[in-house]
Amino acid sequence: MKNLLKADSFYLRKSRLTLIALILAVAFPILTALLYWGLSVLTERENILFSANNMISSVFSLTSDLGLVLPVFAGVFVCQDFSNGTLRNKVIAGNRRSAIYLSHLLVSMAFLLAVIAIYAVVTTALALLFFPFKWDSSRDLGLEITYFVSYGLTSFVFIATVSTMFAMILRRSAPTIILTIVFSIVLAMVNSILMAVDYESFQHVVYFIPTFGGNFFSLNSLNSLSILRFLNGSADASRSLIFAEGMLSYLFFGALHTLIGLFVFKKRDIK
Amino acid sequence: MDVLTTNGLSKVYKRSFAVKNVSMHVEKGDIYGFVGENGAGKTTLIRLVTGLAAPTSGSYAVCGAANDSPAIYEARRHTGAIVETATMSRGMTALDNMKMQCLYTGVSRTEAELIALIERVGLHYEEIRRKKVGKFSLGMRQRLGIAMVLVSGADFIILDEPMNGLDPQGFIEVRETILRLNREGVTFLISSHILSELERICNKIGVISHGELLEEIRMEDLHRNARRRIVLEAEDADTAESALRADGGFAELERADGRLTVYGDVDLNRVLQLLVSNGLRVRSVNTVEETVEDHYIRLLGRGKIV
Repeated sequence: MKNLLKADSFYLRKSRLTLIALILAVAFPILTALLYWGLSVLTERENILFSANNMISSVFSLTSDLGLVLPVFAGVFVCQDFSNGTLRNKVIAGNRRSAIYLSHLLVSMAFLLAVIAIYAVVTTALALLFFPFKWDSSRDLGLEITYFVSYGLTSFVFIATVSTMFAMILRRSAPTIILTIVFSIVLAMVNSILMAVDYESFQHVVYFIPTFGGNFFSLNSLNSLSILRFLNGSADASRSLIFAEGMLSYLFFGALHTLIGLFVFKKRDIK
Repeated sequence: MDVLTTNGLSKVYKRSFAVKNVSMHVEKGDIYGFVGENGAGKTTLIRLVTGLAAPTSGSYAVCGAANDSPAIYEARRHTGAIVETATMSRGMTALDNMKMQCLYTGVSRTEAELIALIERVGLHYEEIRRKKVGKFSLGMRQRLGIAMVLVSGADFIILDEPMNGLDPQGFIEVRETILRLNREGVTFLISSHILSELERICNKIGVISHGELLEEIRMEDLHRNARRRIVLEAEDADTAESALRADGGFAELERADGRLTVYGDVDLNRVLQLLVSNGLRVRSVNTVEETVEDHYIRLLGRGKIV
């Protein structure tokens, strides 16, 4: 397993995908900052939309720029093991299929976390340098940052289980890309619909839906507060519960995807 | 000691047998030639024993480790294989691919050792050091594939059509590499449709057709039992054929393209005496020993030996 991790990391380091991902991790924040600056100049007024909060709040989103691209890259990276035929070499060399699967999963997770962390740092730096950061002083900023970063990073660990599962089952890049994107978009749609309906009677079920918690942990205190007030009168008290349920959801569904992927991968013949 | 044993190994795809009840034995030190027509089941059997596919029924053991035992993973570490084509990352250089292979097999090799291996299979490292494998010719990839197999210091190497895409020089180099490694104690299972190549290097062959192993025979036994034939050309082929048939001592007689072929352990002098006594002039005469190819064709019951 250790050697497989080294091999997959070695491959990833040499891959063009990594270089492209790193370029995008720097280019996207610059483009977003330029866009914000341009729009704020055009509108000629201070707007919550062009705040540092707003720019930072989307760094861990799975449906905006890098959040949508990275899981696709992770899936393609796994599929290349099939298309190159190097996966055969691993099996022939006596590596267990479960080790091969888990190595891919762990390297995908590390890849996603590393690139999204760079993206988050660059975005935050640019946002704080060029735009105002507004905060509701009644809220604990340290705790909110902890929630935001932990939940955001875990989202990418979770989506790595999805893209790896699709890649190891489908084995080809095109369907893996499509399904990974569709999965993220469907989740976002489900979340949006649930946000719009009265969900109080079954709120704990809703919190258990993957990525739903992202609506609450966005460092966009003014926006999120209004949402929370709208959705839940005792917002602050319930945040730790939402966070815990969200993390539990990731753990449960992440494990489920991994088990399904492993089961199918172990059963199937390798071409 | 058997390096590879299969017992009633079968694989079914969509209700038809790709491999049917195959029991074969590759002993330590063998160069085992696996012969069969396209679609006979050679690659499927290789995929089964390398762990790429799971058998529908039957079992196999590699270096004594049964396919359903945990020991099989360790046994595979001492096995190298190229199945169908050499597989590698096309966006990487030869050396990077060798390094990856080291990690897959869990062996430690210095860069100098890896370069020596690359050179050993006939690739000139200085010429290819910056070249991505995707830009290699098929023959170069095949050679690199063999170098990758050698990385682990495998005791048992399985090569599926290793001569594919190689130029005549490549043929010779790969053949020499196989023979040298075999002298050093490496056992080989080689599938190929180039029977003349197999005949030059193998000490045992297995013939597979329609998924079934028809025969497993050592080359020395094949040569010992090889059928001889006399091919002759007489001025009057009709009379010659009639004379030989009338004699009754030549059970298997064939005529094609004006030439007569007499099969079996036949005394050449007797044939010639018979023809001369019938006033026939013999233009040419050859005694031919059955080759692996002849044996194979005869075994499959196809066509006629020419």
